[in-house]
Amino acid sequence: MHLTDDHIQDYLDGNLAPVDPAILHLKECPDCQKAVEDYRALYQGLETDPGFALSPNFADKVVANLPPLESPDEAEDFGGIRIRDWVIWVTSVVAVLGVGFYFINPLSLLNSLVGWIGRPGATEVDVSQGLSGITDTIGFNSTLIIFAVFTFIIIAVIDRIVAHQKSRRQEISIFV
Amino acid sequence: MTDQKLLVDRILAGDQKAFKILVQQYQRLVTHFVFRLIPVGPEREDICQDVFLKVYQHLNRFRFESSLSTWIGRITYNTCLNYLDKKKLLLYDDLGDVDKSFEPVDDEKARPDFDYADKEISGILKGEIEKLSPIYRAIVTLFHLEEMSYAEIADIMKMPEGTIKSYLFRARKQLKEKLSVKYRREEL
Repeated sequence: MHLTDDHIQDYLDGNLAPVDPAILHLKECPDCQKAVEDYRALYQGLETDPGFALSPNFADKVVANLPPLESPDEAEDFGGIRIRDWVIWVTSVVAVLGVGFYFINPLSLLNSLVGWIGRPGATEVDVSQGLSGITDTIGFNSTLIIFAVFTFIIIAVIDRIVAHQKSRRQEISIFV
Repeated sequence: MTDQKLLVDRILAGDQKAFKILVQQYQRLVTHFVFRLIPVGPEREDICQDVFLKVYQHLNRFRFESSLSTWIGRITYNTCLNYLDKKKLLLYDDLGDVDKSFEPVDDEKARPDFDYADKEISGILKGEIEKLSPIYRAIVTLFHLEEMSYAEIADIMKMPEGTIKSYLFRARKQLKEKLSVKYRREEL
């Protein structure tokens, strides 16, 4: 059984192991050896430079027509964190503080904290009472907190989806 | 830091001479790819230029996750696809295994003993390459002239490695058979 064209090409492309039966056959079969030589000659022909040429000053022409470098889509790095991220964080903190102070009396909260922490020999009961005092002071409302956390998560997920879509659009646009 | 990284950094810093070096380094790859995929036409040099302009504009998105040649190859391939699409030209034109116009020939006699260094034979081979489907031409060119592996070509063309190998084998088989027949006819 002689080697197929695929066997011969696999052999010439270096895809066969030295102990492959096709190689063992090749050592003993003059017909297949000739077929290999024919393919080898074709390979040499394909490796001959076809002589495609651009105009001699092609590189200069390209450089002369260069557009401005694409401005980075996202803001530059700032201490390892992108400015866009800084803006989001600062805005979030300001918003949380603003909303918090709107609902909470800061002075009353401070008094509760000082009273609780500053009391010497405080027991577990005292701590419990202190925490209770703090939550009373800030008007703890579990529904409000859960709603805030839920809203925050939703906004974060939407932000990620938008960022992902934007990144995909950029990837595609590179190739069009 | 690799030479490629240094070169890219210089270009991103606005050094146009560095970009000229990049063009000179990858001009051969782009030319081979474009000229093989686009059959004829004066636009081919413009397409090559378009490829390098895209490379320049989008270089800041190159993350060195592949080699620069693979990345540029991919841009070239996609630019050519867009061109072929606009011109309604087929990338997969005539992928048939064997030319049906061949006369059946005796296997032993059909085996050529070509010397492709011979200008005439080399010209015949060039003509037969031009008759191949554009996708075959491109794969043969990347493998034999650019010495790319199946995996690199697959990465550029976004095709499975097995498909690339299969196309390459079929293209070479077609060439060998066409040349065998042609050679025999001319000999007679």
